[in-house]
Amino acid sequence: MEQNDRLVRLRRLIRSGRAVERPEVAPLDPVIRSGDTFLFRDPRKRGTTAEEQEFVEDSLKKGFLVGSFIVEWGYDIKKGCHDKFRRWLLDHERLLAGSAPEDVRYKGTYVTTSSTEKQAGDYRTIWVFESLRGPQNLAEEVAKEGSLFARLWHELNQFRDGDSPHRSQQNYSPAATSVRLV
Amino acid sequence: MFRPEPPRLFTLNVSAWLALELCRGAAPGELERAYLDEMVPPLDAAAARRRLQEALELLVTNGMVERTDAAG
Repeated sequence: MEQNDRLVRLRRLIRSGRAVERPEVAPLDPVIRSGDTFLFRDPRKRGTTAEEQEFVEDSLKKGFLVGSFIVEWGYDIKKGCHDKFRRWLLDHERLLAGSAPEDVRYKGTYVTTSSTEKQAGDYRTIWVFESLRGPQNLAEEVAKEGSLFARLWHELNQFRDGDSPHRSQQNYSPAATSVRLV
Repeated sequence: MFRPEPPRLFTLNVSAWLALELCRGAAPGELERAYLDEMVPPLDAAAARRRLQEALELLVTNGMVERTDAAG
Protein backbone atom coordinates (compact mmCIF):
# COMPACT_ATOMS: atom_id res chain seq x y z
CA MET A 1 0.00 0.00 0.00
CA GLU A 2 1.37 3.42 -1.00
CA GLN A 3 1.63 6.22 1.55
CA ASN A 4 -1.23 8.15 -0.07
CA ASP A 5 -3.47 5.09 0.19
CA ARG A 6 -2.50 4.68 3.82
CA LEU A 7 -3.32 8.33 4.53
CA VAL A 8 -6.72 7.97 2.83
CA ARG A 9 -7.43 4.98 5.03
CA LEU A 10 -6.21 6.82 8.13
CA ARG A 11 -8.47 9.78 7.36
CA ARG A 12 -11.44 7.45 7.10
CA LEU A 13 -10.55 5.96 10.49
CA ILE A 14 -10.13 9.43 12.00
CA ARG A 15 -13.56 10.45 10.69
CA SER A 16 -15.05 7.28 12.19
CA GLY A 17 -13.91 8.42 15.64
CA ARG A 18 -10.94 6.13 16.17
CA ALA A 19 -8.35 8.86 16.50
CA VAL A 20 -9.37 10.06 19.93
CA GLU A 21 -7.63 7.18 21.66
CA ARG A 22 -4.19 7.75 23.14
CA PRO A 23 -1.39 6.40 20.92
CA GLU A 24 -0.57 2.74 21.36
CA VAL A 25 2.34 0.74 19.96
CA ALA A 26 2.41 -2.90 20.98
CA PRO A 27 4.68 -5.77 19.94
CA LEU A 28 2.83 -8.48 18.08
CA ASP A 29 3.61 -12.15 18.54
CA PRO A 30 2.08 -13.88 15.54
CA VAL A 31 0.58 -17.32 15.95
CA ILE A 32 0.61 -19.23 12.69
CA ARG A 33 -1.70 -22.21 12.54
CA SER A 34 -1.28 -23.86 9.22
CA GLY A 35 -3.55 -26.59 7.95
CA ASP A 36 -0.88 -29.24 7.80
CA THR A 37 -1.84 -31.24 10.87
CA PHE A 38 -4.94 -33.00 9.61
CA LEU A 39 -5.80 -34.44 6.22
CA PHE A 40 -8.53 -32.50 4.45
CA ARG A 41 -11.18 -34.93 3.22
CA ASP A 42 -14.88 -35.62 3.15
CA PRO A 43 -15.67 -38.02 6.03
CA ARG A 44 -18.67 -39.39 4.15
CA LYS A 45 -16.80 -40.41 1.01
CA ARG A 46 -14.34 -43.09 -0.03
CA GLY A 47 -11.16 -43.14 2.00
CA THR A 48 -13.08 -43.45 5.25
CA THR A 49 -14.34 -46.71 6.67
CA ALA A 50 -17.97 -47.76 6.49
CA GLU A 51 -18.16 -47.38 10.27
CA GLU A 52 -16.90 -43.80 10.05
CA GLN A 53 -19.30 -42.92 7.26
CA GLU A 54 -22.21 -44.41 9.17
CA PHE A 55 -21.09 -42.59 12.32
CA VAL A 56 -21.13 -39.22 10.54
CA GLU A 57 -24.49 -39.86 8.84
CA ASP A 58 -26.11 -40.98 12.08
CA SER A 59 -24.60 -38.18 14.15
CA LEU A 60 -25.78 -35.57 11.68
CA LYS A 61 -29.28 -37.06 11.74
CA LYS A 62 -29.29 -37.05 15.53
CA GLY A 63 -28.18 -33.44 15.40
CA PHE A 64 -25.23 -33.43 17.78
CA LEU A 65 -22.64 -33.23 15.03
CA VAL A 66 -22.68 -29.78 13.45
CA GLY A 67 -21.41 -30.84 10.04
CA SER A 68 -18.67 -32.40 7.94
CA PHE A 69 -17.01 -29.08 7.11
CA ILE A 70 -17.53 -26.16 9.45
CA VAL A 71 -16.33 -22.65 8.70
CA GLU A 72 -16.27 -20.04 11.43
CA TRP A 73 -15.86 -16.37 10.56
CA GLY A 74 -14.67 -14.00 13.28
CA TYR A 75 -15.03 -10.28 12.74
CA ASP A 76 -15.98 -6.90 14.12
CA ILE A 77 -18.84 -4.88 12.72
CA LYS A 78 -18.68 -1.19 11.87
CA LYS A 79 -18.65 1.09 14.87
CA GLY A 80 -22.08 2.01 16.24
CA CYS A 81 -23.86 -0.58 14.09
CA HIS A 82 -24.67 -3.26 16.68
CA ASP A 83 -28.37 -2.40 17.01
CA LYS A 84 -28.78 -2.07 13.26
CA PHE A 85 -27.00 -5.41 12.77
CA ARG A 86 -29.18 -7.08 15.40
CA ARG A 87 -32.29 -5.73 13.65
CA TRP A 88 -31.00 -6.99 10.31
CA LEU A 89 -30.45 -10.46 11.80
CA LEU A 90 -33.95 -10.53 13.30
CA ASP A 91 -35.44 -9.61 9.95
CA HIS A 92 -33.21 -11.59 7.58
CA GLU A 93 -31.32 -14.39 9.30
CA ARG A 94 -34.00 -16.99 8.69
CA LEU A 95 -34.26 -15.95 5.05
CA LEU A 96 -30.49 -16.29 4.69
CA ALA A 97 -30.62 -19.80 6.16
CA GLY A 98 -33.61 -20.74 4.03
CA SER A 99 -32.13 -19.52 0.76
CA ALA A 100 -28.68 -21.14 1.11
CA PRO A 101 -27.68 -23.21 -1.92
CA GLU A 102 -27.44 -27.00 -1.92
CA ASP A 103 -24.85 -28.42 0.49
CA VAL A 104 -24.45 -25.06 2.24
CA ARG A 105 -26.00 -24.41 5.62
CA TYR A 106 -26.04 -21.17 7.57
CA LYS A 107 -25.71 -21.99 11.27
CA GLY A 108 -26.17 -18.58 12.79
CA THR A 109 -24.32 -15.48 13.87
CA TYR A 110 -23.16 -15.08 17.45
CA VAL A 111 -21.46 -12.59 19.71
CA THR A 112 -18.48 -13.71 21.77
CA THR A 113 -19.46 -13.19 25.38
CA SER A 114 -15.96 -14.27 26.38
CA SER A 115 -12.87 -15.42 24.52
CA THR A 116 -9.17 -15.96 25.01
CA GLU A 117 -8.56 -14.85 21.39
CA LYS A 118 -7.94 -11.12 21.37
CA GLN A 119 -7.68 -10.69 17.61
CA ALA A 120 -10.57 -12.84 16.41
CA GLY A 121 -13.33 -10.20 16.49
CA ASP A 122 -16.48 -9.90 18.59
CA TYR A 123 -18.86 -11.66 16.20
CA ARG A 124 -18.92 -15.15 14.74
CA THR A 125 -20.83 -16.54 11.79
CA ILE A 126 -20.90 -20.29 11.29
CA TRP A 127 -21.30 -22.04 7.96
CA VAL A 128 -21.48 -25.75 7.25
CA PHE A 129 -20.71 -27.47 3.98
CA GLU A 130 -22.42 -30.83 3.60
CA SER A 131 -19.91 -31.92 0.98
CA LEU A 132 -17.03 -30.58 -1.07
CA ARG A 133 -19.61 -29.29 -3.55
CA GLY A 134 -20.70 -26.80 -0.89
CA PRO A 135 -17.91 -24.22 -1.35
CA GLN A 136 -18.37 -24.31 -5.12
CA ASN A 137 -22.15 -23.93 -4.84
CA LEU A 138 -21.64 -21.04 -2.44
CA ALA A 139 -19.24 -19.24 -4.78
CA GLU A 140 -21.61 -19.74 -7.70
CA GLU A 141 -24.66 -18.53 -5.78
CA VAL A 142 -23.13 -15.35 -4.38
CA ALA A 143 -22.13 -14.34 -7.91
CA LYS A 144 -25.62 -14.96 -9.28
CA GLU A 145 -27.57 -11.85 -10.27
CA GLY A 146 -31.01 -11.63 -8.67
CA SER A 147 -30.28 -14.33 -6.08
CA LEU A 148 -31.95 -13.68 -2.71
CA PHE A 149 -29.14 -15.53 -0.95
CA ALA A 150 -26.52 -13.42 -2.75
CA ARG A 151 -28.26 -10.19 -1.71
CA LEU A 152 -28.48 -11.28 1.93
CA TRP A 153 -24.90 -12.56 1.91
CA HIS A 154 -23.68 -9.17 0.68
CA GLU A 155 -25.85 -7.31 3.19
CA LEU A 156 -24.43 -9.40 6.03
CA ASN A 157 -20.88 -8.72 4.86
CA GLN A 158 -21.57 -4.98 4.55
CA PHE A 159 -21.83 -4.85 8.34
CA ARG A 160 -18.32 -6.23 8.73
CA ASP A 161 -15.65 -3.66 9.55
CA GLY A 162 -12.98 -4.07 6.91
CA ASP A 163 -10.71 -1.64 8.72
CA SER A 164 -10.69 -3.60 11.96
CA PRO A 165 -7.57 -5.72 12.55
CA HIS A 166 -9.76 -8.19 14.44
CA ARG A 167 -10.83 -10.92 12.08
CA SER A 168 -10.31 -14.64 11.79
CA GLN A 169 -11.45 -17.78 10.07
CA GLN A 170 -11.40 -21.31 11.42
CA ASN A 171 -12.26 -24.47 9.51
CA TYR A 172 -13.26 -27.61 11.37
CA SER A 173 -13.97 -31.24 10.58
CA PRO A 174 -15.23 -34.00 12.91
CA ALA A 175 -12.40 -35.32 15.08
CA ALA A 176 -13.88 -38.82 15.23
CA THR A 177 -13.16 -39.39 11.55
CA SER A 178 -10.00 -37.31 11.21
CA VAL A 179 -6.58 -38.42 10.03
CA ARG A 180 -3.68 -36.78 11.82
CA LEU A 181 -0.57 -36.36 9.68
CA VAL A 182 1.97 -35.40 12.34
CA MET B 1 4.23 -2.66 11.10
CA PHE B 2 7.52 -4.54 10.67
CA ARG B 3 10.70 -3.24 12.32
CA PRO B 4 13.62 -4.86 10.52
CA GLU B 5 16.34 -4.36 13.09
CA PRO B 6 15.94 -6.17 15.41
CA PRO B 7 13.05 -7.89 13.59
CA ARG B 8 9.70 -7.48 15.31
CA LEU B 9 6.09 -6.94 14.34
CA PHE B 10 4.05 -4.20 16.00
CA THR B 11 0.43 -3.12 16.03
CA LEU B 12 -0.30 0.60 16.11
CA ASN B 13 -3.59 2.31 16.76
CA VAL B 14 -4.74 5.20 14.59
CA SER B 15 -3.11 8.08 16.45
CA ALA B 16 0.27 6.31 16.56
CA TRP B 17 0.03 5.12 12.95
CA LEU B 18 -0.70 8.64 11.72
CA ALA B 19 2.41 9.97 13.48
CA LEU B 20 4.52 7.25 11.89
CA GLU B 21 3.18 8.02 8.42
CA LEU B 22 3.72 11.75 8.70
CA CYS B 23 7.15 11.78 10.28
CA ARG B 24 9.05 10.28 7.36
CA GLY B 25 11.65 12.92 6.51
CA ALA B 26 9.64 15.71 8.11
CA ALA B 27 11.12 18.46 10.29
CA PRO B 28 9.47 18.72 13.74
CA GLY B 29 7.49 21.85 12.77
CA GLU B 30 6.24 20.27 9.55
CA LEU B 31 5.28 17.11 11.38
CA GLU B 32 3.29 19.01 13.98
CA ARG B 33 1.43 21.02 11.32
CA ALA B 34 0.62 17.91 9.31
CA TYR B 35 -0.54 15.98 12.40
CA LEU B 36 -2.78 18.84 13.55
CA ASP B 37 -4.22 19.19 10.03
CA GLU B 38 -5.45 15.61 10.26
CA MET B 39 -6.44 15.46 13.93
CA VAL B 40 -8.08 18.84 14.57
CA PRO B 41 -10.96 18.16 14.69
CA PRO B 42 -11.88 15.69 16.23
CA LEU B 43 -9.29 16.75 18.85
CA ASP B 44 -8.46 20.33 19.83
CA ALA B 45 -4.96 21.57 19.02
CA ALA B 46 -3.54 21.10 22.53
CA ALA B 47 -4.81 17.53 22.78
CA ALA B 48 -3.50 16.73 19.30
CA ARG B 49 -0.02 18.05 20.23
CA ARG B 50 -0.03 15.85 23.35
CA ARG B 51 -1.05 12.84 21.25
CA LEU B 52 1.78 13.54 18.82
CA GLN B 53 4.35 13.78 21.60
CA GLU B 54 3.09 10.54 23.16
CA ALA B 55 3.13 8.82 19.77
CA LEU B 56 6.67 9.95 18.99
CA GLU B 57 7.93 8.77 22.37
CA LEU B 58 6.43 5.33 21.71
CA LEU B 59 7.81 5.18 18.17
CA VAL B 60 11.32 6.21 19.26
CA THR B 61 11.30 3.91 22.30
CA ASN B 62 10.37 0.95 20.10
CA GLY B 63 13.02 1.78 17.51
CA MET B 64 10.59 2.58 14.73
CA VAL B 65 11.74 6.14 14.09
CA GLU B 66 14.82 8.15 14.98
CA ARG B 67 15.66 11.80 14.91
CA THR B 68 18.32 12.83 12.44
CA ASP B 69 20.14 16.12 11.94
CA ALA B 70 18.74 16.44 8.44
CA ALA B 71 15.21 16.43 9.82
CA GLY B 72 16.15 19.09 12.35
